[in-house]
Parts: sequence; structure tokens; C-alpha cells
Amino acid sequence: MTTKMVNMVFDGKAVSVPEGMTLVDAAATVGIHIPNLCHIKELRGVGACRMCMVEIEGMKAPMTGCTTRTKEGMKVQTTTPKVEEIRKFVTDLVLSFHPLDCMTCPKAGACDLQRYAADLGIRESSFGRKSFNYELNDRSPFITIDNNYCILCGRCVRVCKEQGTNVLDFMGRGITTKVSTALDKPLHESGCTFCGSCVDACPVNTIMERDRWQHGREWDLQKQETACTACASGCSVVTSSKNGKIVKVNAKEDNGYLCAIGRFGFDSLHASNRISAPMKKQGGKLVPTTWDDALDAAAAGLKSAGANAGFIASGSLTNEEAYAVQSLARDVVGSANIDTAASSYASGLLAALRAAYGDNGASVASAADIGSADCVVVIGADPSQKKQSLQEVDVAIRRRAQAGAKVIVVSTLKTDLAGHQNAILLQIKGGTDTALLAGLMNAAIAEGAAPTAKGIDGLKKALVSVEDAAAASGVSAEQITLAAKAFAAAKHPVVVIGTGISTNEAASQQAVNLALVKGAGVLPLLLEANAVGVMQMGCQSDMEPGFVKVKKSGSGYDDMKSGTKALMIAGPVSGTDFKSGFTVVMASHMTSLAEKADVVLPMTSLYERQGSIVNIYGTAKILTAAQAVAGDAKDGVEISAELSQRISKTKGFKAKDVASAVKKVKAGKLEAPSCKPVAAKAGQSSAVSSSKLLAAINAGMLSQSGVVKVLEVKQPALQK
Amino acid sequence: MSQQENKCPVEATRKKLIHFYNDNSKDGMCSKCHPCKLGIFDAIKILEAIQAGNGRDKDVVLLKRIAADVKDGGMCKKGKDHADILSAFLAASTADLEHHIKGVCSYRECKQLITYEIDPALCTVCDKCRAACKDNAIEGQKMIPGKTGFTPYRIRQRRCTHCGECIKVCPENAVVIVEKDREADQKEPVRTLVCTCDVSGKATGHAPACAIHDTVGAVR
Repeated sequence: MTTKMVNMVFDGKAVSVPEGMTLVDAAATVGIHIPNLCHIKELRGVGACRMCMVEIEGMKAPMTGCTTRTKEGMKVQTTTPKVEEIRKFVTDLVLSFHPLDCMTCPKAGACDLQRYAADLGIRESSFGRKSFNYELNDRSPFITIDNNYCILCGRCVRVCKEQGTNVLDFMGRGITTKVSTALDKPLHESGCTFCGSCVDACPVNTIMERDRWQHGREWDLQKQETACTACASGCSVVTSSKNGKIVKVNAKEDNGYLCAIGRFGFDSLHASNRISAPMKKQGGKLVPTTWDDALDAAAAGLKSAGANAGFIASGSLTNEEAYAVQSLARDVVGSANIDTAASSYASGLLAALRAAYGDNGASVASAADIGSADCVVVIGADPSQKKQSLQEVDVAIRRRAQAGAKVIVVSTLKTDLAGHQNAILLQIKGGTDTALLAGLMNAAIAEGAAPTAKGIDGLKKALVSVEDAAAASGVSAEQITLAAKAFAAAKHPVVVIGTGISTNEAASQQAVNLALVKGAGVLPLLLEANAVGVMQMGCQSDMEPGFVKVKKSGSGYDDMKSGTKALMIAGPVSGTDFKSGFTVVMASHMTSLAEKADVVLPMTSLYERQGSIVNIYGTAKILTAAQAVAGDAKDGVEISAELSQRISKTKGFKAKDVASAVKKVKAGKLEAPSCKPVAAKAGQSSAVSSSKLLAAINAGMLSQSGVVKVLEVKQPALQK
Repeated sequence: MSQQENKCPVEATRKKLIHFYNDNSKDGMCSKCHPCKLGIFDAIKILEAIQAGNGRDKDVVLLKRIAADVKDGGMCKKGKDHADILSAFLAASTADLEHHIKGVCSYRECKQLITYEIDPALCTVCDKCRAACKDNAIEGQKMIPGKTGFTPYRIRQRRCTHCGECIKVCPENAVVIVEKDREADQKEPVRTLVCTCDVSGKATGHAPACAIHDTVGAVR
């Protein structure tokens, strides 16, 4: 979506900025900072702190920069004596009840209030000093709230509301307002998911990570941009480390979301179940050994199996690691049996995408822009912050819903998203997805959707009437028509397809057809951080790097479960029941799978990793190591390269050559989409629970982490 | 007294602002924007300090600043209207405010700046004021002819809350309001020794020595 640019004047400087943006955000794009305490980038402004006052030519009084939107020909003065005086006045008042503890405050250096007080030259308040002696709220894990420092900006309250957790709110009024939870309960008893968005939002040190006190101040910390690899969203993060150890993790963008695992899960890097040395099975027990010994044993086992060896690449591997494993399998060992878990839990979905968009179908998400969607259809997916599955997707959809987008939920259960006021829930009977979607498409075409995709005439013949769909699925016809109206009226619809139907090809195909009826973007909800990238790097039994079909495909993920001569599993996977004569496991943490293995090779985890990934939205992200690797663990690329050298001196590759080879892999463009009619009859689909699958994938990494222990605490329901 | 219109502009303005600040209805403060929520609170606190006899010369400057900046920076009309009330008061009653800062309420309404006294020349020892006083602040004894003598009536200042009931009932207008003798108050300042150290056993070491104990808890 392209935004219209308008010409404006900021402080006498002619600039071109997007139309309809708030003045604070627009000024930031041209490098002018308008002071503010309560504004959050891209969120609707409230104009509470009055620090962002600017003078606009033609306006009698100063205007707030966070609520005024850019318009053609606007002339803005950001620093005039009048607005400076208001800024000084507000800062002066706020300082009158904010403790002046800058010499010990952990937020010093990153504190907005400190910055503005310094800019405006205010040493201490000219008004009477006030203190309210609130009790420090350190009853909750991970996050402390010290209301004595609160400047009542309300950023935390708004960010919590915006993303749908809605835990924090104001209590009381006037200067004695207090940010608190309902009934002043601890956070873990009030439905908090510990995403920590409020920590990022807080301009002072009221809401903070629990262990920040005396763990390094802002200027002691080394910042490193990287990305989290715990789930498919691959959120961009900024880690802060002191003495080579991570002390905190923040979201990269101002209003970025980061879940509890991404923000507080870094303690897993030093967990007790971390594998610090290579291990080899001796007498039925795994014993630590040297790298040479372990690699020799692994190489010998894989070499002897030859073409019968199997390779499973986790979707959490980086592109480089995936390419190296693929190269090890196909070029060095000479086996075509390589696959990733997505081929199993999303078999139907991947087949449907391939049928509609050609061989590159898996990378369809890059064309869908959920950030500008005005209608989101969620089919068979339950992204949920409370259930710890794809939290970031839930937040992205909720933020759109909050901005007025309709969310159509097609599910057998009442999902968390369906509880939103802008959601339309189509609660179907199990296995009736195809029938319902056929009726929905019919209604959408009747409401004015004009499909242009190939094979649309064949599809139209296979559609059923709304009444038939209603009878088959158990959803009322009015509800289907309501959803169809919202879908047909949307300008940028996005269809989200989840693991609920992803094993069923017919249902997945029907969901893709729904997207094609309106020309909507498709967002397949794969689960691992680099699921698409790993497939693009050729870790599929029937695809080579760059989505090129192989002549003779090897055995897939499910085939390998039943038994292989030798098996190598790289990275965390959900399955534990692999039968194999000889198993090599590359893992960062001890899992039940690694316990059964013959050779265990320790690899890097979370923020120690480097390489590149492609996240669920098709965005490429760069991982950079933010912390020294624990113990003897090595990068997946290095391990694969060493193995390849040991298996074959001539065919073996070197770790440093992998990155350049990855750059050469290019996915072709998506083909013009084509519809494929699906019979609208009820068929039993085997639903996969994304939350359970994700938990199984991350089980090893998180089993000793504090995050899981806190989130497992059963939340008491609030009495109505 | 509270139902009546206040003649003292300081008292009247303070009451208007406090009513606005505490009003939970839609006419009251919405508690959203910082200049109004914090500024009016500070204006009330400054006026209260002046009325308590703790006025400072810079208070006028601060009040003027609050009035101007809430007017410019406030979000809604309600807040700006109350900034106008404050600035109108500052413009119209400059002399009154200065008197108050010096500790004189010439309208004799600011309770902490005045004392009630009984004029012995006018008092007829009728005992009505003693009966009306809710706080037992008036002492004295009525004369019963042939039986007793009498004790002159006077007001115990420590107990008096300046509620005005005695003025209402006095038939001779013998209860008079006089401005507080601030200099007399300051002659004998009341000093209490406050223990700031932790004598309950935990000698913290870094606690400053207090007026009663030394740092290890022994009485000086």
C-alpha cells in the first residue's frame, strides 16, 4: 500500500511526509524530535502530557503534535517561546512528584523525563515537592511496578489495551492516579502474559524488568540487534549485555511486540539442561567426549548408511544451517531423504499453495501485508497470547481489529481472537470447512467480489448456496452473509490459514480459493522461525534449493519416522518417536529425543545464533550473535561442514563457503494464481493444535526456563 | 459559614478549584491532561499554604504561571475556564493576596489566620456560647446570684476550630474575630524531639544520629 505524500514545512524546512500521520511521527521521519511523554509511535495519540505542543500557522492556539495529522501545506513551528514555556511547565510539575534518584536509577540514560529536564534546563521543581509513598509492587515475576516514579503518561495502559491483554489500567483520579491491575492483584493473577510491552513503553523506571537493579546502567550495556527464533514471527529484538552476558532484551521498534519467551526466555541459554559438550553413547549411556571423537562417530554412521541415511532439518535452523545440512545430505552423503517438520503438519496446506501459486507457493506470505489489512479471515488457526502460540500474530491481528478491521474467525472452537468486538465467529462443526467456505465464497461473489484468477469458472460451479452451507456447517445463514459482506467490502483482505486445517488438502485448497475470490493475501501459519527459509534452502524431500523440483524425491518426514538406517536430526523438532539404527542429534538443550541418540552434537541457541532467517511474513531477518557461545557448542554450519569433511575429502565443503552459496539461492516469482474447485462435502480433518506443537518444539529449550514455570501457573478466572 | 458566599477571594478561589478537582461528575476535572491535573492541584496546595500562614513571596509568581500555562496548554474548556478563574482572581485581588502572604486575612475568613476571642467588656456571662460550643473550647462559669461567683469566659485556642457557632448565639456580640498575632506565635516555637534512629534493635549504621539517641541506640 502506497501512502500519499504531502509537502509541509517543519521549522522552516520544506519536507515531504506521508499524509495522515501524526506530527510527532512525521517530524521523526525527517529527523526533528518533538518532545513527548505519552505518545507511542503509530498508536492513536491522546494528547495527555501536552509536551508535544507545536504552533501551526493559521491556528490561534498551540496544537498537540500527537493528535494532529499531517495535511498539505501545513507550516509547523516546533520550538517557539510559547510551547517551550508549556514544556517547561509540564516538566516542572512532573518533577515535583518524581523522585530525583537519577544517581542510582537503572533507567538513567534512557529516561525520557531525564532527557527533557536536561534539554529544558530544569534542575529541580519550583513547585512543592510531593510524595505519595506507594508500596513497591514486586509481587509479580519478571516485572516490578514502582508507582512512586510514575509520571502518569498512560503509555503502559494504552499499549496493554491495544494488544488485547488489557491488564493495566488507571486507578483513582487527579494527581493520586495509580497504574494498577484490577483489584490491585499481582500481575500473574490478573491475566498478564508477561509480554513486557509495558516495560518498553514506560518512559521512566516505574515498570521495569525485575532484575535490572544494579545490573548495569544504560551506558554500560552493549546493544546488539538480532531476532528471536522461538516461533514463526521471528521478532526483531535488541539485546543488551554487560560483561558478555545478556541482561535484558527489548523489542526493536518503539511499538514492537515481544512475547515473554523472547523477552525473558534468555535465561535458557544458561539452563541446567544445556548441552555443553559433545556426547557419545557408550554402554547405553551418553558420556561427554571430544568434538573429534563425536564427529568421527557421527560421520562413520552416516557414511555407512549412504543413500539410506535420513536427514531432518528443524524449521528453526537458519538459512545457512539449512543449506549446509541439505548440502551434507544431497552432495556429500548422497541421500535424497531430507525433510522438515512443516511437510508433515502442513502437508495439505503446502500442496494447496503449490497448486495455486506454483512451486514457490510456500513463500506466498511475502505478498500479504497484515500491517495494512482491513479484513482478516482466520481459518483453522488459534494464535493466542494466553495459550502461548504465535503471540505476535495474535497481536498483529488485534492491532488491525482495534483500528477497525473486521476479523472473520472460522473455527470449531471459540478462539481467543473471536472474543474481540470486531470479530465475526463462524463456529462450524468439525470437518465442514469446505462446505462453509464454499457458501462464504458464493455470498462474497453475490456481494460484489469480482474474482479474476484462473479457473474461476470451474470454481463458481462447485460453490454451494448460503443456505446449504449453513445447514452443513451449523452456522446461521445470517452470520455467513454478514461475514461475506465484510469480506467483499474489504480493500486489503488477508486470509490466515492455520494448523487446524493444514494437514487437510481439500480444506486448505478451499481456504486458498477464498483468498483468490477477492485477490486477498495468504498468510500460512507455519510454526518455526525459519520454516519457509528452510524449505527454500532445499530441506524438502522433493525440492532442491530455490524451490526447484528434484527428479526423484526421497522419503519425507513421516516416512522417516517409521525407520531409517541412520538419521540425523538438526535443531529442535516436535517428534520424539523416530526409529533408526543410528541417530545423530544436533541440539542446544537436552530433550527426550537427544537422550535416545547415539551421538549428540551441541549447537548454538536463541541469541547466540548467527545467520539469516525468513519469518512467517516473508521478511528476511539477520541474526547476529549477542552473547558468547556457552560451553563447547558450535554453529550448525560449522558442525555440518566438519561432518562433510570427515565423510568425504573431495565433496566436503567449508563453513565459510556456505554464506555465499545461500546468497545465490533465489526463489522465483509466484505464478499467476489459479483456482482449483473442491467438492463442498464434509470430510473429517485431523486438526493439529499449534500451541501444543510449538510447546513440543521449544520443550527442550524452555523446560528449565523461568518463563515456562510462570506461564504454567493456572490463572484464576476473575469473578463476574 | 460553608453555605455562605465567601467574601475572602483567596478562600473563594480555593473552594472553586477544590470543587472542580474533586468533582467526579461530567462537570468536574477529567484527569487526563497534565497541565490541568497537576497544575490545578499545585494551585490548590499553594493557596492552602498561604491560608495556613505559610505564604511565600514567590507564590504569586507560581500562581500566575499556573494560570497562564493551564490556559495555553490545557486540553479542554473546563480546565481553561478554571485557569481563567485563577487569573481573574490574581488580577483583581493582588492586594488581598499580598495581605494573606503576610498572614493577614482582612475578611477574617481564613481560619488559620484568625483567632476568636471574647471581649470581657461586652460579655454578660450568659453561658449560651459555652453550651453551643461543640468542641468544649469555651471555659467559664455562669454566675448564679446568691450562690456562686463567676469565672470570666474565655476561648481555649488549642481547641477552637473557628466554626462560628458561638458568634451566632452570642446576644451581645461579645465574641470577636481578631487577626492572629503571628509574632507571638513565633516567640515560643513548639519543638518536639523526634527519634529518627531505629532504637528497636536494628542499628542500621548509616542512619543519622537523632536528637534523642546516638547511633547505637543508647539514650543521650
